[in-house]
Amino acid sequence: MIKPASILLVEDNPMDVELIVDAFKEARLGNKIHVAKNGKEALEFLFGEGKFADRKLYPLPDIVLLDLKMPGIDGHEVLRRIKGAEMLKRLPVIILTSSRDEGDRAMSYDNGANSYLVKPVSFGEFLIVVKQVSDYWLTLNVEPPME
Amino acid sequence: MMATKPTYQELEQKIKKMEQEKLEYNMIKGAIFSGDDRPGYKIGSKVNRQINIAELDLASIINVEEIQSIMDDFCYLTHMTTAVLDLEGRVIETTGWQDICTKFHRTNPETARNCTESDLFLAKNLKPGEYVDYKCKNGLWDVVTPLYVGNKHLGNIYTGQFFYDDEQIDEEIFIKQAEMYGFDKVSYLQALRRVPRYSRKTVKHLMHFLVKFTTYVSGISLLNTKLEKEIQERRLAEKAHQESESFIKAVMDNLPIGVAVHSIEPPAVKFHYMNDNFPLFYRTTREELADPDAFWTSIYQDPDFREELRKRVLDGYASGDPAQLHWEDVPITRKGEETSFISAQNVPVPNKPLMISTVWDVTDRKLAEEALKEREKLLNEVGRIAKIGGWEMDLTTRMARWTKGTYDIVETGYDQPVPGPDEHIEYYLPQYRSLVADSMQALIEDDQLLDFEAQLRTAKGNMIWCRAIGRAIKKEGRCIKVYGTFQNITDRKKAEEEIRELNRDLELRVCQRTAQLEEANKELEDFVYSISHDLRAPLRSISGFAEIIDRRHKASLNEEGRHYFDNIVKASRQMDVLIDDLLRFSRLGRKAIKSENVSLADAFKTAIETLAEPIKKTDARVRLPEQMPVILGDSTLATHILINLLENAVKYHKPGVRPLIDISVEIEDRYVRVSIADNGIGIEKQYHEKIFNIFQRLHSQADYPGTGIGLAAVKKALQIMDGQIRVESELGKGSIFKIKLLKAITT
Repeated sequence: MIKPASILLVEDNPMDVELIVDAFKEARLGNKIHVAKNGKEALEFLFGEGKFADRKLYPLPDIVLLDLKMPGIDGHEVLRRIKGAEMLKRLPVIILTSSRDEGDRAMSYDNGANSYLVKPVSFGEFLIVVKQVSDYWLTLNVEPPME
Repeated sequence: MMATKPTYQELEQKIKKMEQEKLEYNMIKGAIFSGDDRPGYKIGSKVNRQINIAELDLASIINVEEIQSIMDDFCYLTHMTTAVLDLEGRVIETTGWQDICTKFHRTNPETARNCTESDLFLAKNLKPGEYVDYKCKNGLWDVVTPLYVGNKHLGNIYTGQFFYDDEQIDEEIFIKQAEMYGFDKVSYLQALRRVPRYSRKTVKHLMHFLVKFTTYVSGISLLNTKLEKEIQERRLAEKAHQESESFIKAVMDNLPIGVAVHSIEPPAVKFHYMNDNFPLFYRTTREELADPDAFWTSIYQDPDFREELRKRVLDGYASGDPAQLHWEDVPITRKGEETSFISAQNVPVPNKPLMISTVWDVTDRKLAEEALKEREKLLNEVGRIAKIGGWEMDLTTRMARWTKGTYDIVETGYDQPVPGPDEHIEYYLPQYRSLVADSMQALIEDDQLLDFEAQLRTAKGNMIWCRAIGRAIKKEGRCIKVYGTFQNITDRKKAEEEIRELNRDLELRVCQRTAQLEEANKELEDFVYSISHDLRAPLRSISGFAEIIDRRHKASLNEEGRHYFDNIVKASRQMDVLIDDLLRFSRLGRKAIKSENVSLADAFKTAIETLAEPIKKTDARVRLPEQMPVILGDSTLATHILINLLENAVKYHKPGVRPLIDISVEIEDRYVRVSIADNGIGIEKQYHEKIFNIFQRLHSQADYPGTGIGLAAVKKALQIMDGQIRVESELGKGSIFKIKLLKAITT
C-alpha cells in the first residue's frame, strides 16, 4: 500500500472539522488531513500563497473536501478558482455539504465538482461516507496525470 | 260618465222647438175657439192647407136628403126634371123624371142606347159655367152643366126630358117609335103628352139657377167638411203634442243633469221650470225651492260662500258674457257633504228676464283628473330625479311626442318641435347613428326590444350619454307606433369609467402586492431553508458527538446519565427528521415545477418501493386498481404526495390491526380523482381542515412520531399542480384522502 493520500478539508465549522477528522481516525485511515478554516485560506493553501508558500511544508493535496456555505469566499467560488486554474483543474474536488439544494448541486457539478456528498447527521453514517470517499477516491480511482 | 248627457246646444234647440210648438198650438187654439180673434182664417189659407179636396166626393160634401127635398119643391114649382150626378155616374139627387123616359125609352135596349148616347155626348162637351143641350135620338131634349167646387169638377147637374115651346111635336114619329119598339101606343102617347114644354129662355134661367144653387150649397158643405176635418186634425195634433210633451218631460226628468228655467231679477231666483234632477242635484225638493230666493238659503249654508256665489251669478248675468255664464269645475259645498265640483251653463232666454240653467256634477271626473295630474306630476318628478323621459313615435303620421323628462335631457324648450322617426337620428353623434338606426329597424320590423346607449349633443351643446329603451305597438301585424324611455346615463357612464380606472389601478396594485407577497414568501422560504440548513450543523455536532460518546465513553456514565444521554440522542434524531421535512417543504416552493405527463401507476410503484420497510414491518396491504390514468404535473411532486399519503395510511393504523389500504381512481373530463382509503384510527371531523396546516399534530411522538409537516407539504404540492385534497373520516373508522389531479392531455 502506497502512502495514504493527503486531503485538504475546507470547513469553517470547527465541530464538523473535528467530527470528520475523528471519523477518518475512527476508520483508521492514515490520511494526512490539512484543514483550511475558510475559502480564503483554502485558496492560499492551494495556490501556495502567503504562509503556505513553502510547497515542501504544504504540498498540494491529493483531494479536496470542500464545504459550500462559508463566510467570505464560499465553496462555489473556491471550486470555480480551482477548476479555473491550469495547475489545479485536475485536482479532484468532493463537495461535502449539508445542502441538498438542487441549485447547489447543479452549480457544483457545472463548476466541475468531481463528486457531491451530503453531510450525514449521525456519526455512524459519517464513518461510512468517509470510508467510501477513501475507498473510491483515494484507492480505486485512478488519478489524472499531474502536470 | 258625461257621454250620456246632451250637449248644451242640443238642449237649447230642444227647448226652442218646444216653445215654437207651443206657440203654434196656441195660435191654432186661439183661432178656432176664441171667436173674437181669427187671425189668418180663410178657407184654403195656411190653417187648412192640409185638407185635400181631391180626396172628397160629392156625396160627402152635400147633404143629399136636404138637397133632394129642396129639389122636390123645385120640381113641384117648375115641373122640371133634375138630377145631380157625381163623376162616377152615381145619382146623388133626382126628381120629376118623365115616364116616357123611365118607363119606355130606358126600358128598351135600343132606345136605352139612345139615352146612353145622349149622356156620352153631353159628358164629352161639358164646359164650366155653361150648359149643353142635346136632342136625344128618342126625340127629347137633355141639358147638362158641370158642377165645380173650388176649381174641382165634382159632378154634373142635369135636366131634360122636355120639348122647347118653339118646336113642333110630330106625334106620328112617336107612334112609329111605339110600333117599332113595341111600346103600348096609348100609354106611350099619353106619356108624350105629359112631357113639359119650356121656352129656351126658361131653360137658360133654370140652368143658371141650378148651377148657382148647387155651387153655393156645395161650397158651404165643403167649408163645413173642411172645418170638421181641421178640428179633428187639431185634436190629433193636440194629443200628439201632449204625448210629445210628456215624452220630453220624461227625458228631461231622466237627464243626469239639473235643468231649470228661472227669473234673474235680483235678488230673488224664481223658478218657472225645473226637472226632477234639479232639486235632487242640490239635495233639496221642489217645494223648498218654491219661494223666491230659497235657492240661495236652502242650498248654501255658509253665508260667505252663499254671497260669493250669488255675486258671481249676478255679475255673470249682468255682464251678458257667455264665458262668465259658463262655469267649469266650480267647487261647492252641499248640505252635510264634502266639497263637490260642478259645471254649469246658463243661457238667457231672448227678450225675457229668464235664464235656462243646466248643472251637472263633475266631482268624479275632477277627482280622477286630479289623481291623474298627481300621477303625472309624480311621474314627471320621478323622471326628473332619475333623468328619465318618455317618447313615442307614430309611424303613420311620422310625428313624435316627448314627456318633459326627454325635453330636459336634450335641453330644449317644451314648445320646441319634436323630431319624428325621420329626423331623430340627427341628434346622435355620427358614430352612433348606424347603431340607433339598426336598433330602431329591428324594433319595427322584428319586434326586438330596443335598448341602446349612445352619445348625443344637447341643444345647449353639452355632450351626454343616453340610454333608450323601446317597444312596438302592432296593428294587424304591422308596427304602427314605437314608444319607450329615454335616460341620461352620463353620470353612470362616468362612474363606470371611474370604476374601470379604479379596477385598472386595483389590478396594478394587486399585481404589485402579489409580487411583494411572492417576494416575501420566497424570502420566508429562503429563511426557512436557511434556518433549517443552519440548524443542521449544530444538530450534526450534537448527534455526532453524542454518538462518539455512545461508542467510546458510555460505560463511564451511570444509569441516570445514560438515560439522559439517550434522550439527547432521541431528540437529535427527531430534530433531524423535522429539519428534513421542513427543508423538503420549503424546497417545494423553490423547485422548478415541471408540467409533464406522469403515470400514476409509476408514481404509486415508486412510492410503495420507498415505503417498502414500513409496509413490510406493519404487514400492510396496499390494493391498487388495475388501470390507472396518466396525470399532468410534476413527477417528483406527485410521488412525494403519494409517499406522504401512503406513509400516513400505513403509520396511523390501529394497534394490532393490519393496515388495509385501498386505492381507487375516477376519471373525469379534466381531472383524475384518487382516493386512498385506510382502516386506520380515523380523524375527528373538527380536524379535517386543520390537519393540512403546518406543524398541526394530533398525536404524541410516543404514539405516532411525526413532524406535522407532511400533509401541509402534500397540500402545497397539490396547489402547485392545480390539484386539491380533502379528507373523509370518522374517529376509529378509517380515513379516505381524496385528491384531485389534472388529467393528462391525450392527443
